[in-house]
Amino acid sequence: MRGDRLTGVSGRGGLYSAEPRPQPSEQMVPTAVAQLWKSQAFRAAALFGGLVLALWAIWEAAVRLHVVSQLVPAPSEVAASAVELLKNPFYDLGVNDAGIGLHLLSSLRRVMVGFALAVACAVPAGFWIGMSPVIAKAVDPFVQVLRPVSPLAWLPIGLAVLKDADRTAIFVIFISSVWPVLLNTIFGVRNIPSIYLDVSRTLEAGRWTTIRKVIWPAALPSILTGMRVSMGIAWLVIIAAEMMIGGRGIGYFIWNEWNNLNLANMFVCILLIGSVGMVLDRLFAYLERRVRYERS
Amino acid sequence: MSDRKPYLVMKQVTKIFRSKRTAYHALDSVDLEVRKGEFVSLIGPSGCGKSTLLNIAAGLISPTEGSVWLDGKPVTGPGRDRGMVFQSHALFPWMTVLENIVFALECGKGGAAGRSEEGGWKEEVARRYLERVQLAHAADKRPHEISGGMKQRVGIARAMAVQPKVFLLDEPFGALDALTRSSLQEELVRIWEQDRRTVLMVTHDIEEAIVLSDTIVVMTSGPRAKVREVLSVDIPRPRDKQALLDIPEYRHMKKELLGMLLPKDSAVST
Ligand SMILES: Nc1ncnc2c1ncn2[C@@H]1O[C@H](COP(=O)(O)OP(=O)(O)O)[C@@H](O)[C@H]1O
Ligand SMILES: [Mg+2]
Repeated sequence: MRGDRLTGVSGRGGLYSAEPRPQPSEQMVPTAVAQLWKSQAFRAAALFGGLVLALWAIWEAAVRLHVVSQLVPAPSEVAASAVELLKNPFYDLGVNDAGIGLHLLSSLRRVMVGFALAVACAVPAGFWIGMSPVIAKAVDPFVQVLRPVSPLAWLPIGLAVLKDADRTAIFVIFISSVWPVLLNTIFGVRNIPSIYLDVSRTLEAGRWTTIRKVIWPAALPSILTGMRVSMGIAWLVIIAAEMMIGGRGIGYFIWNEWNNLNLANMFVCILLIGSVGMVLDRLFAYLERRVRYERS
Repeated sequence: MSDRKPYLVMKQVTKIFRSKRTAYHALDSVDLEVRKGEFVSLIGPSGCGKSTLLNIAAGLISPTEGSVWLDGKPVTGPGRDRGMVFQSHALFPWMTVLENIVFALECGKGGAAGRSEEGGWKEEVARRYLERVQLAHAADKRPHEISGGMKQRVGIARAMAVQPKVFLLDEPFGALDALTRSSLQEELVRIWEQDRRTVLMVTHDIEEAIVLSDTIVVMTSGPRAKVREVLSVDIPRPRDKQALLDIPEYRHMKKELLGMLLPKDSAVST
């Protein structure tokens, strides 16, 4: 089972790729466990389970023994809150009383819209800037000055100009997402090996054909890297933005639980936000892999 | 065997690479003539400017001075009348082998409409070119899935697909092992014999130059590289690589070329 070492982390085939195993029988069981234990994925999973239990135990003990503030809930209470919150996540009893699922969807919607708008602007702009050194030089000062600004700094301006909380949140997400996509698109377009463009020129490929069939696929992995980074930032920023604008959204939900001093719900929220963030990141990592090509 | 009239002509080509602080005088008044249907090899010490000269012929680099003419017309930029085969094969890794060739066909006048100038669907035409380099079976593979020799054959098929007046090859087999190189040389000759297109090929391999060429152009070492000698290879075709070893003319030529290309100047000076 030496091969497991290579596939161990992904765990694919780890547990099942053993040599033809003897038929399970009473006295074979210990051998099967020993076999299983050799698999890296299995040991990692076991360790993970152990860590969760240990953390749970320490936390539970700390709360029961009053080592921490009275406000901190025990993990068992958090679990109970999670069950409570997730039992009926989509109920809607008006402005101030809606299920956690609705808040989450609202945040996701804002992120998706702001992100999509940013991609729709940044990718064409990135091609335009990346393909022309003159434009690149002319635009560079704007990028240099605006990029380091926290997207949240735009929030008051958004509120003043757009006069609408929802649109302001989308605007802030747009600002957060636009820079990584723009910079990675420029990078991707500018770093195409010149030999590909030489091929294109010797074949007399038109400008549009070259963009579509050569520059676009060559830059796509880089563009997707930018999108992945942007999505990560957008998901960080939406929480903060929603805390400030209120209304609906998972960020506001957390803020509201602070007003209620319900820390159990806040912990549930944090786990939920983390999980959604992880799923989004995995999704873009997958897309990134799909468009990557083998340099040969 | 070939037309007397020069077909591809490079006149007094000089190239100086300038950057902010430095200038490198790579080529100095190079004259080169290739007749129609002729197979010419360009050989010279590494770094002397062979690729530069070939890229100038391709129109990818413009000469500092001098001019390039093909079939009586001046060359002002890259074009489909010259089929380029790059040393690093330069296939698009995001396309399959077949798509790479279809791309070359699509860029032509017919556009992306599917039909090619020769009639028939582009994909069929592309397949026919792949058959000519015996790669029909690899049509749907991606470049990283095939061997270096196969990639180079695809590169040749791509250049053939545009039906150029002249082929420009930059050390097409330079990165391959000796056995693969030999078999590709044979294949190139076989393909070339079919319609005897004009070829200008850069190489640093003396045997390759003798086996393949009608004429060998030897360059001096850079900077300010020039044409040092033009040798015609009068060994009858087909030239069998093994049989060549017994031909005195071959051995004589090889010795002569070695004498020109070995860096004896530097040996004296040190
Ligand atoms: N773009 C460039 N800028 C500056 N120098 C260059 C450039 N391209 C080639 N050279 C120089 O010109 C000389 C000839 O290069 P090249 O044509 O590639 O040689 P070869 O193909 O004969 O090995 C080399 O010394 C190289 O460093
Ligand atoms: Mg070279």
